[in-house]
Amino acid sequence: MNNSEINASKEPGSILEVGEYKGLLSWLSSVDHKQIGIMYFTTSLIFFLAGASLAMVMRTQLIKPNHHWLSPETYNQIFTMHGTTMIFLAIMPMLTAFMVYFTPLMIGARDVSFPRMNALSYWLYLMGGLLIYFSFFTGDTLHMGWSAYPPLTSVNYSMDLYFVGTGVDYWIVGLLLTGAGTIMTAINILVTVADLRVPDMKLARLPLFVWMSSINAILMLLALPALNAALVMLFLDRHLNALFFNPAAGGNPLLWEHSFWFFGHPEVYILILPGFGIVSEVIPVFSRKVIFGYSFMAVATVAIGFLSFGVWAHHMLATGMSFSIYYVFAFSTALIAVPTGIKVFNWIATMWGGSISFDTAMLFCVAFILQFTIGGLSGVAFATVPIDWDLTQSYFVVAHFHYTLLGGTLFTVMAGFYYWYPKITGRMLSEKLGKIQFWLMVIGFNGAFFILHFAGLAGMTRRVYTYPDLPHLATINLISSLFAYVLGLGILIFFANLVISLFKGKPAGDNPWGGWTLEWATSSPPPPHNFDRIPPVRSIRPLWDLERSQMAPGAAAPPSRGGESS
Amino acid sequence: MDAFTSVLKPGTKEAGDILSAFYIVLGIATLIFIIVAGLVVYAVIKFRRRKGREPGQLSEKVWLEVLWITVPLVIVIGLFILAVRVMLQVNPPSLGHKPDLTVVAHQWWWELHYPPSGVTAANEIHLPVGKHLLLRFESADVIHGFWVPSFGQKIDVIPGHPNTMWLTITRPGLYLGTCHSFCGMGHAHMGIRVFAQSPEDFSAWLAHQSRPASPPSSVEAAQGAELFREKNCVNCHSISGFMTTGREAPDLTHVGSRTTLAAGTLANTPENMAKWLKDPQAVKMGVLMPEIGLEPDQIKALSAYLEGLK
Repeated sequence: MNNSEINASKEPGSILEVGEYKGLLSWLSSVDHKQIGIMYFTTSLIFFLAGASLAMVMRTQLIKPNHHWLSPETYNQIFTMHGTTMIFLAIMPMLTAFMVYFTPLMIGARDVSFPRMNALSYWLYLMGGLLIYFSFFTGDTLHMGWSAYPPLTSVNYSMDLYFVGTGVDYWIVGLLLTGAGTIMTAINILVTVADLRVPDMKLARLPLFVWMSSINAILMLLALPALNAALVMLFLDRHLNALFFNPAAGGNPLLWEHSFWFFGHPEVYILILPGFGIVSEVIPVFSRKVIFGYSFMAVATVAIGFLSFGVWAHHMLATGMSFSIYYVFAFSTALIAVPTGIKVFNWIATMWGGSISFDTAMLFCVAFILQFTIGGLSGVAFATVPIDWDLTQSYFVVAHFHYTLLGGTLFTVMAGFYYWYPKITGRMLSEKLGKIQFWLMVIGFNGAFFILHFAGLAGMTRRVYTYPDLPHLATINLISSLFAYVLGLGILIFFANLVISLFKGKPAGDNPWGGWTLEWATSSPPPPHNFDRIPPVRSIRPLWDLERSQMAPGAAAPPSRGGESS
Repeated sequence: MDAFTSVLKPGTKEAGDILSAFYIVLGIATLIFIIVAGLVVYAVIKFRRRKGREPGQLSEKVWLEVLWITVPLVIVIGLFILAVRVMLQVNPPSLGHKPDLTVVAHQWWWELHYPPSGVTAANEIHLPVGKHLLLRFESADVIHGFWVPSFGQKIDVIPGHPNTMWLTITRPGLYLGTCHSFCGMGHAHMGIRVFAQSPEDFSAWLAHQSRPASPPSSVEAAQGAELFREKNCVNCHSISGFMTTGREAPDLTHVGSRTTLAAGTLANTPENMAKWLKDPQAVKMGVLMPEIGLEPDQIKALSAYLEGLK
């Protein structure tokens, strides 16, 4: 199964030995999607570490009631930066990294369609991220939450006691830059998938990761402009007194909420679809079974993408709009649970009857299914409007979206790292550290966040630097904070594993997991031109077919999936 | 007096209705989770990799797909019907009803108007038990949120977009709540205290509140009243029967009768009043009340006057 011996003599065994990738200039000037992908990975991991550190500071501040370790001014900036960092600078670009690195490899392409634009996207992202962080060094007040509702973000209110803040302006400009980069990436991925597939790879043979990345790209392409428009309006309000959101002059702050969430809810799916894609690749390989219900998975993804543009106002169920609006959005929101359910059941069906090997990547997928189900179910509860009135903006909603974003997306990202790190670097991540990390993260995450549902029920509201000593809140928060440190330790071990394995990891060979998609048909790390030769694609599992035809030379390999009608 | 602080301890008819819906959804969700988790755990144990077993490559079964599309769809439709029913039950349209209480949110306190009686108060809400009440919400500055967990629903308080909420309080007691929508530096110190009283007690309270402030009862308090005018407190605060110019800050006509200061930040005691007057920023960072720079004996006098405004 392992073809690495054949190529061992001529191929570099580690990313560090690739001649073309040596020297800083090779990276700064690169238009190679793999190098750009690695830069995305690295940058997003550093931002992730920053965002996670901010979370640790927040949990320390919240460890007991009436705690005055941090001032509200500091805490408010920290939670704003935590949200902004995790969503825009860590998780989304981390998923982009997987998309940029693996989409061309999985469709047998040499690079993306527009390599220079790809590089531009990355540099816009990096510069935008740095601009947002620069607001810290202006000594200024960026305290508003990641959703930045005006009028709080208008010039009248985004100031400390003495002077008008420019923190919001850095935030706006930074997000405009990263947003522009994201739109370019979306175009790039879509055109690449449309244009550069190997000739045999019909849409019905696309790996699910590529399917989901493509749908994701469509969401990015349609959602980010809404955010950018809103950001421009806010900028005009702040600097040219445009009055879009100023109620005193006939503007309407709800206009911001609509524009923001018209972006913001598809964004939630932008933050999970590539993760679904990763899981849909990892589970079959570690179960030694073809994905169950391939076409239903693809169609469910399209359905999620479509519905995600019709649910935004469920973020506004407590704004006092008319009931007829609520009905539409409540129903569309609940409806999106159906295609999501299809995915969950198909993953389980893929495992069913398989031969499951519990390497770290697979462990993360299993935990993901359970945790994401919890987050999905509390999401359905929120679609039941009166329950949303009860619990929105409380710690219940904090628990809910961390179950989807952390217990969901981050766990899929971890699975992706353990699965593909060998392909990217040529070295295996340590399974021993991986399993320690996995258990610390599962225990830490569930310990820290499950109990926060109860904090919401007990009356704790979001975005407070401290809280009164109401019944149960002290205990709940203490437990949550202690488990958060366990989670933090797990994340530190992950970073240690990334670094140590780069130098000391076992050589990976071409295909350490016995994967079936095209990226495993080239060496690890892939050469700059990606492929020397590409096996024929006659199903969604070209390497499976190849293996079968090699085992029985001369015999025609049966396609691995029924219903193949090419 | 009972204190109500939790969603799970409903104090209104509406909160009870919502909580029942919550328990129904919780039950369904728990059941679904048990099924999913059961399948996953079974698969994880049963289909572990063992030597010599080559798994079959079953790739699709349409009836299974139909099953797990249909069942969730039915559940979703059921939940939607539940949602609509409870919505209409707890918050029917206000249809031109006059509000019994208007709440105006400010950074970071609550201004209260009882329209029928003309009473103005701040931060501590008194309401009668057993009446179907309509509350109206307005904001004077940024977006705030009104959340008393035991009342069930919360409502955003948005400038230029007044909202209403129906309430039928079923149990007398003290209800604690807070601003739920991030509104700036003082967001964590924007507490709500609702005293739900019998209709008789409520009427008595309202009658007391509608009286002008009592005159200073001692020489010290009289000095305090003089300071209140001299130090420009009157630019923002009003005291009915004394000076009613300022509307930017809480009405202080009966401040001595309130249980807390600074929107629930401090218990209302003479010591805390002195602490608050001395350095408001130290008590509630971001608060718009300036530090007036009073001498200790001036603080004592002003505090004596304000605490006397029962």
